[in-house]
Amino acid sequence: MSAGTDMFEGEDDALAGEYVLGTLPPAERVAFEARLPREPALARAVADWQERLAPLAEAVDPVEPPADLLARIEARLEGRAAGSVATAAGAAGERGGDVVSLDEVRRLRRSLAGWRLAAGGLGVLAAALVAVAILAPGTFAPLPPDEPAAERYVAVVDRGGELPALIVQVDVASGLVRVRAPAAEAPPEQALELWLVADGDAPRSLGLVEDASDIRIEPAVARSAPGATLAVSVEPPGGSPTGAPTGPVVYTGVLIPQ
Amino acid sequence: MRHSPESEEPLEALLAAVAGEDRAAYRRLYERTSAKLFGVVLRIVKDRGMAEEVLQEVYLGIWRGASSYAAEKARPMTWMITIARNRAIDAVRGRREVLLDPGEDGEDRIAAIPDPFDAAATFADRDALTRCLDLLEEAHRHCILLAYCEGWSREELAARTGKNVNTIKTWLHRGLATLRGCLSS
Repeated sequence: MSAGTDMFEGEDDALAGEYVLGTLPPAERVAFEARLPREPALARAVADWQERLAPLAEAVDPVEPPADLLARIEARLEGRAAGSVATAAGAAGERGGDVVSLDEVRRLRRSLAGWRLAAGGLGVLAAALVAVAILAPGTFAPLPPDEPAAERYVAVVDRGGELPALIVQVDVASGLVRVRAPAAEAPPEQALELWLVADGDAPRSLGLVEDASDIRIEPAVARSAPGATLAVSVEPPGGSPTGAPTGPVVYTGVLIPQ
Repeated sequence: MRHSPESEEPLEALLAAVAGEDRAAYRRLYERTSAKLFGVVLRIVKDRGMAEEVLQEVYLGIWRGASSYAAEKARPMTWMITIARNRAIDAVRGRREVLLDPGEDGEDRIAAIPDPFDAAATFADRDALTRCLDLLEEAHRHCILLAYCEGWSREELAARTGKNVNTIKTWLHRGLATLRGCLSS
């Protein structure tokens, strides 16, 4: 047990435990995940619970999957020829070195569309990523196609290289939020709703995720955006009926200054 | 688990090779771990066809995510189990209502859950976890096991036990606190 974890008595450790169990309600889960990137001790508490409870899973009786399942998986790996390109793009985003233009992202999206359609279901959504950026006040402008994208937005890759599901730009001064969804996909008959989760606040809806949308939020809300987390949940058509996330969170990302 | 010579190869090394897009290492990793992960997924996703879909997603996720695996942060099986459980829970949440037949007796359902420790596998941490789980009140232990092994939500646990979700939350928190205290001592 690390000394760092010992700070996590009580409520936070219980939250970390419930997060690992999978029992946090969607809104609490979003709020909890929003804290993880900024609270390494909390992330450690999660890792500790994963290790503590893993023996339960390891004790489950093994069941041989069908003999052809590996071949099916490898066929899907082959089917996404752009996979290694997407990985390279993700790695570039993490390094902050190379650039990925929006056009490039769109191209990758098209080449990945095939296997995504074949994959279907929520699992594939959960694998995907959010890339977000926050523009400095006063610099909001359309992305010139030939402009190096790294100057305009930063990919945040949280589960290894993959195409960003969303690119979100927030202009703090004007409250303008520009959402581009190069690879976000909703399950059939359901909608994706975007949430802003600022420190200590309840998730605030930024509306339904569409391919491209520009919305305006109150300046006071926009000012809470730096460092905040974005989350996307699966909701009924038209969005959450309660004003808080009701379905599983399938994408998350952190807003970072540019 | 197969007893081929490769089975001695550390999973950390296999994951590192997979991170380098080594397809042969990927196949060996699959051979070593797929039966265990399929067992984990099947406990949560009862439908076999759906579980096969989820297992494919799990291994695609392992392929894509291997480069982000950090050996100092988690054991390889813990990392893969986390992916498997998350995918399985994502797959069943929102569509589990069909299983929540309100007329059914919750206690019977709980009694029907196989004890995860029936499996003969031995692991270093298992005995400690078993001993500590035994310290928990039975209701708390059941809730933790059903959530972790079967992927039940608070609402599902509440529906099954006839308690409200706040009671379930309290049970989970108390159970987790006892568990942690015991495992830390």
